[in-house]
Amino acid sequence: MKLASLLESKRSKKLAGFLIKRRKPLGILLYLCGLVYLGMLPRDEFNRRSFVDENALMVGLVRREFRDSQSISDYAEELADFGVDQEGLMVWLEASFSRIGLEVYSQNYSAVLPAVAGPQAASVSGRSVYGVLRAGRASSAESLVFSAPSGEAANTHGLAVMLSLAKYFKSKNYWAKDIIFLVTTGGEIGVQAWINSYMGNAVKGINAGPLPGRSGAIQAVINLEIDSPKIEYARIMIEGVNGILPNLDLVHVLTHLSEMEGIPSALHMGWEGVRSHGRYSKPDLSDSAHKLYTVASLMAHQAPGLPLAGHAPFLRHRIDSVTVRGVGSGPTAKPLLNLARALEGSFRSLNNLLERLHHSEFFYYAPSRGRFISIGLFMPPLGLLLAPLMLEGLSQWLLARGFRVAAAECSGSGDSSQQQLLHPPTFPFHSILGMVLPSLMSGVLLLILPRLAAMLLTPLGPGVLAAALAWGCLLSIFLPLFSSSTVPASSWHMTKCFSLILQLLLLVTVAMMNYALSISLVLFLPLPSVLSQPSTINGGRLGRVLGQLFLLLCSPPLSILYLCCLYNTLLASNISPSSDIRAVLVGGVGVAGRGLVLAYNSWYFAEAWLFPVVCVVVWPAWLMGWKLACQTVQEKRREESGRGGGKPDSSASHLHSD
Amino acid sequence: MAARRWDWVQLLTAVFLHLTLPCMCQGRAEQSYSEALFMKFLADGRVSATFDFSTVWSVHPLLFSNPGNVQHYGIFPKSLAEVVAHYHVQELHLTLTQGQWRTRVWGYPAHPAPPGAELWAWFLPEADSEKEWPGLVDAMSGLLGAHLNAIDSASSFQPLVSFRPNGAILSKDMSNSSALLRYAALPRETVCTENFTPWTKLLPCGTAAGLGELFEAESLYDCDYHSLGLHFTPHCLDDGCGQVGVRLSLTLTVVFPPPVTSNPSILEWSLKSLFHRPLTSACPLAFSSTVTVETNSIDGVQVSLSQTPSLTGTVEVAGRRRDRAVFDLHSLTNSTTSKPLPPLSVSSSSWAYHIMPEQPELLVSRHLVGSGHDWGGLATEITNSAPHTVEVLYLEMVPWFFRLYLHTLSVSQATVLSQHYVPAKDRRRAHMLELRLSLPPLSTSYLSLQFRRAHLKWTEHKPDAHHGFYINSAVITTVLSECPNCTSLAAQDQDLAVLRLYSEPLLVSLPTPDFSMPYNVICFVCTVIAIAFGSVFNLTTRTLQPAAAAKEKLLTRILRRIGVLSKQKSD
Repeated sequence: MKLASLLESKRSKKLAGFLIKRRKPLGILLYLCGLVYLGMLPRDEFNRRSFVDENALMVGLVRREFRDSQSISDYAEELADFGVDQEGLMVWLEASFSRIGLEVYSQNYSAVLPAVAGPQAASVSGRSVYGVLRAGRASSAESLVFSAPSGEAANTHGLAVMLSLAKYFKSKNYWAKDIIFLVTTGGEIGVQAWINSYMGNAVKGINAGPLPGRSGAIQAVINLEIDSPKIEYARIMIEGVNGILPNLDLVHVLTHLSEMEGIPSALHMGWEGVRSHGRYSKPDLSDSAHKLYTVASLMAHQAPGLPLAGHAPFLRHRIDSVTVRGVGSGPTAKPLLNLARALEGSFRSLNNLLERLHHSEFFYYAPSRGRFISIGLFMPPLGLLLAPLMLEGLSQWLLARGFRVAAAECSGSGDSSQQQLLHPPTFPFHSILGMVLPSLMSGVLLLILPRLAAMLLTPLGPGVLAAALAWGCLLSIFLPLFSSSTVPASSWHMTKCFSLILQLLLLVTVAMMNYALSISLVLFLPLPSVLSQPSTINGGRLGRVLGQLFLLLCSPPLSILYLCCLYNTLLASNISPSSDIRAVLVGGVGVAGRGLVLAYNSWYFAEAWLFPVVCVVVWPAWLMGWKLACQTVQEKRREESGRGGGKPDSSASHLHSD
Repeated sequence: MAARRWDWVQLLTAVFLHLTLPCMCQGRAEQSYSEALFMKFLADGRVSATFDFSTVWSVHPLLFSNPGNVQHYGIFPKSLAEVVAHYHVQELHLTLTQGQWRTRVWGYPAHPAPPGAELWAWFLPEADSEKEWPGLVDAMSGLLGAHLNAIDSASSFQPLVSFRPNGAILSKDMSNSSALLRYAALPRETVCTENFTPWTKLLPCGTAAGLGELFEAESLYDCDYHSLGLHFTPHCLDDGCGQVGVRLSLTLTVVFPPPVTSNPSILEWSLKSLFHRPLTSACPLAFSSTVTVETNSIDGVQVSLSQTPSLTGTVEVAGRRRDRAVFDLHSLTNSTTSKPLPPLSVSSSSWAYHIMPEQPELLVSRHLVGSGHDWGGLATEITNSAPHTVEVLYLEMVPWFFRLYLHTLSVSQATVLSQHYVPAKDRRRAHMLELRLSLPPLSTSYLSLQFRRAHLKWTEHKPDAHHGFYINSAVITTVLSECPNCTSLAAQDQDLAVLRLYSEPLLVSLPTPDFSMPYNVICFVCTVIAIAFGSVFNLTTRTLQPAAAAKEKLLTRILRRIGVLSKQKSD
């Protein structure tokens, strides 16, 4: 389609006429194509085998020599005695680290949570202990971090593996990078406090003590979480804050080595892993469905961009990091020694690194181990999914300039006297500003409301937080309904075009940073705004109300709820699937509440921009569509178009008087 | 200092004897050579071995600089002497180091050195240092097989006060200016046997006899710290410095991992176990050849020796007694020349890793602040745990591609007495900041300085661009009154009056282009411009007017043409 000559020849007028007449079915068709395309990507035919791109890693070339399973179980026994006594545990860890011969340091931190999910206290404080193994041959310019959180979730066995590996690593002299063994408490906030101090970035809200000892630039982080003495598979979690992923090479090193040690690994919650975990057993599901499931699961965890595992805060600082979670204790479970040996191999590979990991992909999805979908493959479907917005925007542009389908068809018949005049584009600034500004202000209001609520009520619970936000949303939704204005058609079309193109740009921009978030927005945002109509254009009242209803059903708060329900029923590991719609809803609301609190807190602590983006970008984008759908378009224009010979100037002059 | 100067007395006697001996030939100035090894346990159970091979030659440095004046070099390495003479060097210091000296645990180093290579030299007053320096750098990199030729004007510095001459001062006017000084450091330089072998060639006895026998590269590099040093200085031959000669001191410091035994609380080492070589003789050219072992380095841990030392003594250092046992190799080997020395073995009892030493009074550590590719910062912590105010010099050297902002310099606790800042010039000169600080007693001072990362031209990146770039170790220089944590054999050595501490070098990543990308980008951009830009540009800039109706549609034309063709065919 040659855009430039779209309106110059009769042929292209015909094309434009076709575009305007058939834009909706065409758009929906392209959208469906995009969905199918996306669904096909996990199949092996459409993606690539993964490989180690960084030659320096030399994965698996060295003989893994760690055999001390006795020390793992000894440490685990000692650790089990502490139970919930975190302070006692930290003191014991300090002693153990120094017995091993590491330089031991600790950091105190305290934080006040702006919102809490449950009955816990809003102020958190704790202590992180870390031991530094100094590499004899290097000058502490580079380091690797081996972290294991301690706290809410029991990580006794993770700590045991870490300690015995520390002891083993200490006896070796091949290290070229310092290794920091980090034990944090208090979940992600402890990690956040530590890494922020390490990087010298103070974060408001976290009062982190100074770090007495340091090492050089951190090259990679492996975070270990194991809660059973035997594991069935290693679940590798990669999603970082704001959807940042570690380099694919790091993931490959871990999956490859655990494979070599006989431990199946699953990227995140790969279907193989889920199956062996025993929660879901759907043998009827085909192989490609498993892969689709894995990718969906990856995307579901990447999209929010919240720190969901201990490694996530590191990625914010451009440090490649992954979490290895040992899962399962079934009959086929392997002893921890195998995982420890895989970790030994991984650290030795990382020790070989001469440069930062940079060769392989940073944007990828892995449908199964050994395969990955690169960014070049998963971007085109997004283009198809966004096509309706593009087509509709283009049509609105033509409509705004007085293009009429009937006239185009008439002129197509060869009668030059029927030539219609397109007036030059006039921007209805009042109308556009009247749409953009209130929507943005509504977004800012949503951003501020929780703070206002916090003045009255601290700490914020999920209910209060949701209520404050819902109040703001409802206000923004009802105002246009009651103050519905009548606007000239040309102005309406131009404003609509503007809002659609804005939405398109927004979704593309988000996709550049967090593809998964963009995809989850694309599921709900474009179609309703494309399909909604004001009254008196192509539909009258019923069409308008239906469009409004569709828009409302796809509004960001409800979309979030649907996504949470979907996540909870299909992907979450801790809940068995249920077909009862009530249970699904209750579960979804629970997830949404926890997610809201997490998003709000992470905005403060981890600089996760999900909450502000939803408030100030996604919500206004939707609200603009809503305002347009609530407007009434002047009839005059319609009558003229019915005649097919109206003066285009009339609407333009009206516009100026507006 | 209330130290018992037993070894000093011994040394003096030997020097005296040596000097009064009639010379073998006229015109050749006296040379004396001594070798010493000092072993001690460090607080974390590691064993440090410090070798010191020093040659003193009573030829005046100014005479020395003219090759015509010296015909016989004797035991002084000629290759070095020629370099020194040719480039009019007054004083030369070169260290090649692997690993970082951990001052917090190990105490002050005997021969302070930053990780990588460090070279600094004072030129003779009449020399043109600007011209001589590149030549000297090249000559030294040839002499020791080091990659020193990476030093250029953008990595050479002239610190005002931090690096004053160590040896005798030859002329008074040079003491106020650093015009004759050049300093350079390469934090990334790796040290290996290719540097070590040429270094051993400078020893009078090489590795054939004396302490050099212990040198086996594999064991010397399989350790936690390894530092080679070469120091050439003018040297006062008498107390009043009436007579000046030259001194070449070749040093080697090695820190071995803790020699653990099956019983974790017992550490045991012998020369054989550490160096994998026996010691069988003393260097016949040396007037003194000793091995000294400090027997109570770690508090509460007693050390026993397998062999009776030739001499024992106690040095009192800052109120703490340090027992030292000296083994004189000459007297041990004199009687039984053919028999190897009985292997010296040292064991310690009741040792544990977690005995943490009292930390030295002065500590420095520096780290990088900030992530990302734009702003960054240097943060330095200087701890003074002495009960009195300490004055230190702080030297920071930053490559030009980090755009330093001096106004962001903030110093807490310490007082800045004076400041000397040389701003960088792109590709020609690096930033240098020298501060004279007064550290209050029992305090930790924080210095911070911000920089922005510059974009390098894509050809200026090294082959491993993603490794990052190094910032030299910051240097803290001070004059110590007492030295409780010194590792050195001779606490009264004049080098120790000046203490240097080096911080860790920093590895900073710069924004790097995707080097494989230009081709893709060119293709992509051309395509985008050809397809998308033209159409969009037309659409957005053209004013559209009613055009005359086209005569025929393309489709109908094509159809007609096909129809015509088919007609022709049918015809």
